[in-house]
Amino acid sequence: MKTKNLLKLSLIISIFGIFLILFLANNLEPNFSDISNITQKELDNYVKIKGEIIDTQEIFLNDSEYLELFTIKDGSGSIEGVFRKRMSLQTNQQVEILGKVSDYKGAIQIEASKIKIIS
Amino acid sequence: MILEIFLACLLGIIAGTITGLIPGVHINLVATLLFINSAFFLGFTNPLILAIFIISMTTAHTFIDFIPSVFLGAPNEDTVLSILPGHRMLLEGRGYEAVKLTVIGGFLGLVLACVLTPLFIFTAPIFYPLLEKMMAFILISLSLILIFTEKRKFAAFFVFILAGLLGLGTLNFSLLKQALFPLFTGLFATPLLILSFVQNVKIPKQRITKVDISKKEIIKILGVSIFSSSLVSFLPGVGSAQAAVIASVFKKIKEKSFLVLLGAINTLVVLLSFVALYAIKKPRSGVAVFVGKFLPDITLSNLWTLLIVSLIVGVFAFFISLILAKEFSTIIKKVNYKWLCFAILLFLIILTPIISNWWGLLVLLTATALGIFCSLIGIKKIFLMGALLLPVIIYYLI
Repeated sequence: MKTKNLLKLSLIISIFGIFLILFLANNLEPNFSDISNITQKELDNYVKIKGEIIDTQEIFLNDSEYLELFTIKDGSGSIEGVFRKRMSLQTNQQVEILGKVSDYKGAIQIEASKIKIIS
Repeated sequence: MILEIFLACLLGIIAGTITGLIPGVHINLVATLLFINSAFFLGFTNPLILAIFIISMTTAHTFIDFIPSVFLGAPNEDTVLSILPGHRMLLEGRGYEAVKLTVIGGFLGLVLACVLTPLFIFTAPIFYPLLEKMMAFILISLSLILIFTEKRKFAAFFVFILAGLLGLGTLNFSLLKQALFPLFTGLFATPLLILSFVQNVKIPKQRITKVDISKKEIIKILGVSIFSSSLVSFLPGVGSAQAAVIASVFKKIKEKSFLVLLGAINTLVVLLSFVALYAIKKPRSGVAVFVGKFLPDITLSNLWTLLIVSLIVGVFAFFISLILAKEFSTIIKKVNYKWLCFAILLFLIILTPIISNWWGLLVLLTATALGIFCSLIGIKKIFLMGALLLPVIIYYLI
């Protein structure tokens, strides 16, 4: 294949691919998981859960940094989580959370990237 | 106890050699398996021994993993920048010398990490908050310096931004697992393999050449590697790849020196992540996370035990790497390199959905296309690191 054609082809594929990946990243999410299925094997993977907030705590690290700590439970179990934006979650709220499974001091937790309040 | 430590070191060296030689197999995978089965292992031994196994495996891996990068064109995310200078030296018949340069750097990095640990323990808690605030500024400045020192600025900027967008999409793609594997394989490994195949690259006879690099050059490199490694080792989201980018901005670094630099950075960043675990109570690498699980209240004595073990393992890994590099130098001339590239390419394509699931193939294809474009327009591969730099800059800015 001539170099000029390969150059054009590689540019077209890369630009198309990049925008497709950006689109998919914004629009596709995993299916809902039970909290009991979230184990060490899921470390660094994204999961989506829904449940009830049973505990919350707001921590102001400084003027611009904020952490919202929460515990969420569903029918199968509970898990702790952290969200780096202010949402002022309340106990008994029903929420859907998309986040990455991480480890904090030996315990599995979810680092939320999106939280949707259902009720 | 001594026997347990010896066995842990030996098994760690074996595990690190295997993970280092096989592209796509990461030490984090082995550490995860160990942790999942830790209850079983803790029935026979204590957590310190498991931590010693992890650090032995990690140290051996940081030495050995340059071998597939140089000889097979198949790096991991920590060795990606070695692929081009290493490949160039391979085409000159000096593949062994390329590996030797990286292991020299690796061993010097080990020694430096041990010597500088007391300083880092004392200064890290003081500088860490300041560094966290300045990281976005540091990375933006360095990215701009890299772009403006390139002859073709617009092309470099264009590639950097495209790579950055690819990185943003890939790292935020929630259905994709182990996103870095298809991303880096596609940006750095597969374009090299495809172009080598298409251009029918022939590997000349490999010579066991002596390393010719001045002490002054080595001291300069080590200074730069300490600076860049210490910037990234204590912060989340940045690692040896970013350290290498930071380092490459300072002074014009020759190809041989760059390989020594990469070797030093590779080892320094990993070991300093364990120092960070003690100094600021935050693990800064995947394996440090697992050591932190086994030793949640890591003491200074534990840290020194791990560093000394790493130094001893480093001596063995140094010689193992050279022996393996010699064997590869002999074998590589006997194989048809064009079809070897094809076989490795096929292996990486098959491995991608196994490690990352089927979406990984989309990322691999896109990243490969971008990597080929970068090669064909003659822009330095370092601008493809925008795939990691841009997401990290945004992380620190938001």
